[in-house]
Amino acid sequence: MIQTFYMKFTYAIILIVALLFSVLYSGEFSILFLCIIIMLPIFLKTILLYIRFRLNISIKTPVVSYYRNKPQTVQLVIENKCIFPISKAAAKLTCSSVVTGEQIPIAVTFPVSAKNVTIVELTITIPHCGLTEIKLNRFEITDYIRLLKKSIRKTQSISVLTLPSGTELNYKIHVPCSVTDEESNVYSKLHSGDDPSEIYRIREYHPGDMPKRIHWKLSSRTDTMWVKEYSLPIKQRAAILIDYSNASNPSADLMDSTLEAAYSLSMALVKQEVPVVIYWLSEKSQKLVWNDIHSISELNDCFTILLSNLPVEDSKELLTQASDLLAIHSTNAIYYCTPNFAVNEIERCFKTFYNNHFYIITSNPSSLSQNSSENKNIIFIREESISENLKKLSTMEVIRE
Amino acid sequence: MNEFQVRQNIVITTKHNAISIKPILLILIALVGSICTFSVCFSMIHFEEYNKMLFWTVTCLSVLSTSVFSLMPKKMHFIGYTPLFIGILLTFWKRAPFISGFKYIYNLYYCVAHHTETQFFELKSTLSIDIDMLWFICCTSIILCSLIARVVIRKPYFIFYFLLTFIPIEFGLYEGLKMNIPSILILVVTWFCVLSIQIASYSRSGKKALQNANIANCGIAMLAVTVAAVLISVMLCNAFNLTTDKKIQNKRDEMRESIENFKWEDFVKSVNNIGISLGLINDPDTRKLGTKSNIKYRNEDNVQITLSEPINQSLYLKNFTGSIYEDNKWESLPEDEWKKNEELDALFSKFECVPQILPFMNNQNIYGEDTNASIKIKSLQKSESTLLPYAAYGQNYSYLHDTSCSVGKNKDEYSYSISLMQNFYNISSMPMNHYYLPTNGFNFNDPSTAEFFSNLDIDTSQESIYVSSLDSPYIENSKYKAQALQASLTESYAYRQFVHDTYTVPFSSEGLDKVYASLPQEVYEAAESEDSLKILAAIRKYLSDTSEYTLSPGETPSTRDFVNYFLLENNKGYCMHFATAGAVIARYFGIPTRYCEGYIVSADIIANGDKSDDGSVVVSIPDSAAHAWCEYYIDGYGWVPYELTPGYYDTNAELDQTEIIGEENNIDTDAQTETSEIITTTVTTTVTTITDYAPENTTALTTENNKPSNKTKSSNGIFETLFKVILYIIIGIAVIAIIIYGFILSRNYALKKRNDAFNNSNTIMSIISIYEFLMILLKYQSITPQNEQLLDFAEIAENKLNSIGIDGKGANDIIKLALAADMGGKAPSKADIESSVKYVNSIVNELAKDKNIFIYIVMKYIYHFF
Repeated sequence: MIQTFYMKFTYAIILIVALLFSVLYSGEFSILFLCIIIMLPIFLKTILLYIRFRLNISIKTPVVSYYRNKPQTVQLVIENKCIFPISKAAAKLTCSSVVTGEQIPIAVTFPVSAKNVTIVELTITIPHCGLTEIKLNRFEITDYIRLLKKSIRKTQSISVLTLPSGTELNYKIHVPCSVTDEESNVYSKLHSGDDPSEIYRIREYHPGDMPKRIHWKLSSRTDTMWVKEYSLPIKQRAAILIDYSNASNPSADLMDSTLEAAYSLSMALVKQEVPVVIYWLSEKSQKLVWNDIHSISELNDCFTILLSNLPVEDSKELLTQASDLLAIHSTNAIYYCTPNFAVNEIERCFKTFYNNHFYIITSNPSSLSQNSSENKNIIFIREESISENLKKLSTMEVIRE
Repeated sequence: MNEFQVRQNIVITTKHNAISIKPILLILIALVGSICTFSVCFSMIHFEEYNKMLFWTVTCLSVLSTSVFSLMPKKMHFIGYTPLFIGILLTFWKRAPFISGFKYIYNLYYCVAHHTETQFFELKSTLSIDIDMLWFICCTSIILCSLIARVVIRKPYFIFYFLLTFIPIEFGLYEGLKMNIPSILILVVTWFCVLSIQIASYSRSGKKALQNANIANCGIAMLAVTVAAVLISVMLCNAFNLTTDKKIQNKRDEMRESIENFKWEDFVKSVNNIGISLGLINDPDTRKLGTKSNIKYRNEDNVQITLSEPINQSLYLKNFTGSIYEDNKWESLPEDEWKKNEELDALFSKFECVPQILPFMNNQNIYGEDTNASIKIKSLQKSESTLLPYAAYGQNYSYLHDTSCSVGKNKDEYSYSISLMQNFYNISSMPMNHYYLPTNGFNFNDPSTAEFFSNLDIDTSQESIYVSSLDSPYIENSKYKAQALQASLTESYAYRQFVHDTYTVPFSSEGLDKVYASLPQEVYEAAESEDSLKILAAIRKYLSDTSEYTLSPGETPSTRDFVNYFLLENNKGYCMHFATAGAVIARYFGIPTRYCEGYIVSADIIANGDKSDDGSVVVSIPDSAAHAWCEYYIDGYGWVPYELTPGYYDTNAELDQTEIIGEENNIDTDAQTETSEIITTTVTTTVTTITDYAPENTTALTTENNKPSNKTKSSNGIFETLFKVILYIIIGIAVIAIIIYGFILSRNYALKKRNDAFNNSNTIMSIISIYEFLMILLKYQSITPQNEQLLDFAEIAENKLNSIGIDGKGANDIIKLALAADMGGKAPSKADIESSVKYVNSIVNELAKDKNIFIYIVMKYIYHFF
């Protein structure tokens, strides 16, 4: 692309040549040509000034939320109300993560049609969860022979929320439960109950079994008496604690991994129709906030609120507040997702939540020691293998019930 | 993937669909460009009547066919060259009529360009000229129009389009031929339109249809802008007469001349001349002789004179008198000379006894007051200085020493009383007469009278005062009697001696001595006669025999004496050369001479002037009447012109003199009483007149540019020299600053380019750029591959760098990374790129360490290492 500086330099040479031309060549044309060369930049500048006032520039996003590591579209909309097209417009934008402070400059050049709305779509992949700000720093228009530039200092910005992209878990998460719930459609896999809608198992008759439980059909075919055991409808409720603070300054990657794990786990549980409650510490009030999730859309809304509040300075109070609340909410399994985990906290957590199935999901390898790595309730995840890492939850033996 | 990523390609859409008219626009431009080119060419050679339909049809068809073929899809677009090939084949097939037609057209061009009827090519037959001409212009049209269409339609190339359309016109512009201005202005519009289309084509964003629509719209917008600029330019030019104003044309001519006379061997002088023509520098040496290689007249009227009666002799109007010839210049007498002659200066300033009025006063007596007329002089140019005719008297004007006159505020229009008898050859033949004026006629009790005679150092106790003059200083019943008498007395007692003391000193220099030595015997023989006229005639003959009159004699080399170069080598010159040489040689032989510049108005020009009913004649004097001549002093009369330039004198007319007037005459004492009364009145009246009209400006007017007096001139000269020096220093500093800035800009550009290459989002390209830079650095350290494998070279480079104290491992890593990227397509990580960039920067810092300032500058600004 021709730089305006070199075009100016060339035009200066043309002006000098025109000047010499007007001196060395007699006649009217040489003088007229010199006048034209002098007048032309004046007219071009005037047109640029006119165009500048007839331009409306805005940034738009076609979707409400963005997903991490997935190409997303940002639209730069330029409405040109005047009759002059723009040969070259240059926009300098900055895409920055509010959470991590990382940013990337984006420079695009494009022509703009006259009396039209030009939409420039940029595809951006955002690597971090949380708020991302897309800011238009500078907008420049150039004339038709790239001689003059006019800068339009309209700083506009939009903030988009980037949700975790989530990993599809192709297995069922085992959520132990200790609460029976006649209304529930979930049945215990370990214990039988009295709900006839679902057969827990068929076993041999033992003296004392109720006659109405005898499976007559099967028994007639075999020499043995078989008895049906009915299922026990249980209440499953999972709690996911998201501890996301800046206190120990974890890297953005660790934070993202944690959120991805929490999101993926939530998504899997929701698909299993296990009610999920997500807890996090509010930055403003320093109080624990929770959200019931029954669907993917509710999950997205919850994460939207959660990520809007990030990062939190210090969430030491999270576990303390959680212990009280979780008792009230009767959760069966607690998944504590955190990038920062001090080893000495492990015992305290397990003591606190001894009545529940408590799992720590962390992405920070330095938080693990030899002992903790052997602890089956502590799951170390890496972003590229979240599904693999969380598989432990599907085969996890019940420690307490 | 933990960093922001932006896709390279962007998608551009518009709300409303844009209709592209790019092909139509380009076809129109090609068509208009072709038609205008031919229109301008035909107008240059006055070929305007050429309306042959066939030619214009061929032009349009060539453009359209090339356009249509060029718009075909990619593989088929070469068909667009078909009309061009057809044109070439046709030219070859019909080469004889083509050549004949070309000759005819060229003859037309030649005749117009050189203002001649003579044709360049001799045409054998003119019978088939129409057909031949038609073949020529049709073939040319096909070829040129096809080329124009091709470079515009397929892919607009401004530079080719410009060359194709401008070169045919340039032949005419160079020769200053008049051309059809609207056509050429339309062509200028198309140039800028094509330029903007080409520039807009560089943008590859969006769909093809959108691109094309935008390109076409930009072209149309630029077309509109250029049309507006053209219209405003035309209006401005017409409003301010930029194309017709004579002053601007003159300025252009001056500048053109100074540029055309530019010589590299005389660089400083040439630049100086350009500066003078631009008006940036005042040339203090405008009086320097021999600086112009040729004289060009603009044929514009500089002065207008109105004579109350026609005059049948040449009229000299003097505006400069040179008394001292030195350093190839004529200068006035320095002020010191007048300080030495305080009495004479007082006589001039207080009593108006100036030699400028002597011829007029003497003519009153010799020819009578009936031969007087009036002359009104009007300056038509602002730069024109006061002109002083011979034998003229301006009342209430201030006369400046013994050379010129100041008219005060009436610079633009002023008048004199003038004697119509301007043939001074008659005067020069008159013998000197001697008179005695009785002293009792003067009122010596009057302080003015006493002062007057005191300045003359006349012993007033005597009975009579002796006066020598060509005629009696006494004019009866004349309003000039006082001035005439006083002037005669001053001339007789003071000024004549001053002239002989001052204006007969020969000029001497090595060059002039050679001139004197080379004078022919005839001149020396004439000098023995001590007759001024004879000597001057001999000098004139010598000059006309040895030198040729021309307006283009060339410049005098700065190391040579002007007269020496003229007479002994060049032997070519114009009036300035002849007048200077004649005055210098005449002085050598003791004739009091001076050099004059001004205008000569011949009797023929006067006779052809506009005659009014009242008998007056208005004559416009052009710049071509500017002239230089010599004047010499006739004792008892005053300074008169003597023509030395061939073509300006008529020897026969000079010899045909009227009756020689004058016998020795003495006023006898019988008439003394009458004379005495008049004399008394005379002195008193004169004194009053002088003090009442004190001159406003006693500064001598010696040049066109109102040069100040010698004293102020020398201080101004120092100031102007200082200004020139300061100007040259500023120009020098500016040039150096521009050069340094150029180096800085180029370095910044190179660094930016390198940074962009290193930070390319494609890490493969980045590492390759880093590798290339590393190789440059290694080459600087004389570490270059010697046909070994690159991996081996990497090891060698590492070892060599380690040996000179630079960590070589980084270089090894970079080479390996680059190899892997280039051969295996393995993209290095961002961290690798960062570390590689860090490493090369560290090498650069190491290389720059402890280097002397010169090498440091070379590394920074020439090699752009950092």
